[in-house]
Amino acid sequence: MNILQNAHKNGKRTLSEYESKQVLAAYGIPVTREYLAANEPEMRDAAARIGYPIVLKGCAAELAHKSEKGVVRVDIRNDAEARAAFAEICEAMAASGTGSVLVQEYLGGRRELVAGMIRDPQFGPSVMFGLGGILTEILNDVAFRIAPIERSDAMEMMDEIRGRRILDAVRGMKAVDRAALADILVAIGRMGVENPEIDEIDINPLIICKGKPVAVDALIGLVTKEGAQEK
Amino acid sequence: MADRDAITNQLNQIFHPNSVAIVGLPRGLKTGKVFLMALQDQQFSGAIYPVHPTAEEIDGLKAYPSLSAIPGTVDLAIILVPHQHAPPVVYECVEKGVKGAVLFTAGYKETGTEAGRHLEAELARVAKESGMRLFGPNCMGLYVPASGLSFFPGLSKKPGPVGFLSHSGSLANILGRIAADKGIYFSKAVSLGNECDVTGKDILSYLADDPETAVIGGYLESIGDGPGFLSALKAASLKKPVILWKVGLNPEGRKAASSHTGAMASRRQLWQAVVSQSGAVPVKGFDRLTDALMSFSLLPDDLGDRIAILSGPGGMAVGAAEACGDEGLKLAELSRKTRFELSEFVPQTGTSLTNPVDVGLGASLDIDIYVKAARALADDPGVDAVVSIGAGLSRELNETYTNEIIRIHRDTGCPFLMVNIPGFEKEFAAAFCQAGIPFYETAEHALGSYAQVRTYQIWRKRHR
Repeated sequence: MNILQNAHKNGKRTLSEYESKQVLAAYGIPVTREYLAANEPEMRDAAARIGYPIVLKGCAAELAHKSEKGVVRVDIRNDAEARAAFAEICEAMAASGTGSVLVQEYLGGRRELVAGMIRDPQFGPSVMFGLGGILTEILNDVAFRIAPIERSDAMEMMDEIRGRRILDAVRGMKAVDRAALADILVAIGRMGVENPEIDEIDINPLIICKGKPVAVDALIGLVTKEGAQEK
Repeated sequence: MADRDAITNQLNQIFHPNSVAIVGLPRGLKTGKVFLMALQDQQFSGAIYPVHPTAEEIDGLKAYPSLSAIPGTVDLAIILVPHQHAPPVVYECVEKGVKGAVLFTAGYKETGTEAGRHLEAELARVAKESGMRLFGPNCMGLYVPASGLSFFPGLSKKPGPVGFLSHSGSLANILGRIAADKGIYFSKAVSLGNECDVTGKDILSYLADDPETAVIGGYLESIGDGPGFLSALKAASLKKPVILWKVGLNPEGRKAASSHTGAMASRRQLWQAVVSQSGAVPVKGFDRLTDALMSFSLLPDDLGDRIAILSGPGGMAVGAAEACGDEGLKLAELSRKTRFELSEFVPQTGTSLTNPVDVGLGASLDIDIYVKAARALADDPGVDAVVSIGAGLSRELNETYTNEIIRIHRDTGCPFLMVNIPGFEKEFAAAFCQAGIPFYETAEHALGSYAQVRTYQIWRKRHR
């Protein structure tokens, strides 16, 4: 994992969303289609390849909680909207430093889940699954398992949350592909076990689109250089 | 540390010693004296060697100025000297060929001082290099009634199926003192202390394979090697129930986390993960711990979910019925025969002949109504267990109630869960437990504990 090792060697504490998703994708986790754009022509080119509607997001390593910083525009339907949004995001980012703009497919799923990992001082890498989006902190409806985990553990995690019925066929939406979700949770556990540089992983939201889970936003935090050397 | 089989062999020798030395045994009635009193109380049959720098004899036993002055071999040493004097004694133990040593005194890592940490690291080093096993420091050591070993006088001499590990010596004492009244008897109980050498994980793995242990219980304050403990816990839970009271789970932020995952990862959440992944049985509080140890000790395999409730007090009958639902259990459908039998002796007013069976106030004067109803319910093939909430108005009536229900339990094999009505004699409560019938303070405790045993039984069947 070159991205991880390089970032860690350079003393970075987090990967950008774009980098984080590349690492996730390398572990087989489905992520949104997306390209980085440094300028407007690159942005339009990316939009053409993905097809509208799209999402534009400011993208820099230190840019967590992007929506709170006014650097996210969703459901952009055409070139004119895209140009305006691009300009606004560049302006907002100029205030806080540099970065590129991430051009991303817009997924309209209404069910938002969260999946992640933390490195616990006592038990090591631990995988989390639960209700995502703004519900994560409000309902605190999550389940943990100590990594490495097996598919059966992942299935149990899905049954352990109070809001488990969100995974069923509800309100005309398809039942969630639990096997695909289990693969993601198992992969997250493996990432923690195999990469001592990773301190935490946060996939929030993990959106359910036509029954399939896709990582729409992601953040990978790294341990400090000193921390990794101890391991 | 050496491999599992080697540790098991060592622990077997230490748990069944032929001789015990008590180093630093006081002459007068000071704290350390309890260790001698405990051995004498248990009628320890091996040699006891007090070690004291000047005394010739202590409480009728010949005392020795040092370990090396003892003529025979010493299997177990209990070390009571102040922490700063401990290392030379531990070196002497190694010289003497002692198999295991219990370090009672505090003053090590738990003080948070550099000196304390250093002293403890030295003990760990000696244990590692010599192969002698150290318990503690800062622990009470071992209670093995089958060997006559104990850390406190007044604990039951009768051995039983419960293996226990504890980060609190005094909690182990208190549990030991009340255990017999609840039908809880021990194979081995180990007070772990600071775990400089022998860890909770070692004891857990030992008890998992120990043929004398059928139920494992534990009180834990901290866990050292998390992943190692988890795998030992998984392996143990597949073999026998492991009931754990873990403290230190108050919600608190893991750290100033930048991620959602980090913010959610409380100690409680991670402990829940350990429990779910291992099949361990979590309990909270001393009462629930003792309830669980009693229930797992006394209730049979293959518990069913069809519960019959027998009660004199109507409100308690309804409460018990509600607790059944809360715990995922069912109210048994009583057979026509049972209902007919009940109708023959249960008064017609102020009572109920369907489950929950309310025999009314009159039964506390005519205890035979309880007894006959209990037999009818226990005989019903549609009933998997009977919850009995009853008491008579006099000691004589309660004695009859106790003896008769014990008889019915023996005749039918149907599990009974007895529920206290305040005022019921403690000696009869203990008589139930000693006859293999668990006795609880409330119906909620009874059904909660029953459901816990049943859930574990189902889990184990599924994972075997």
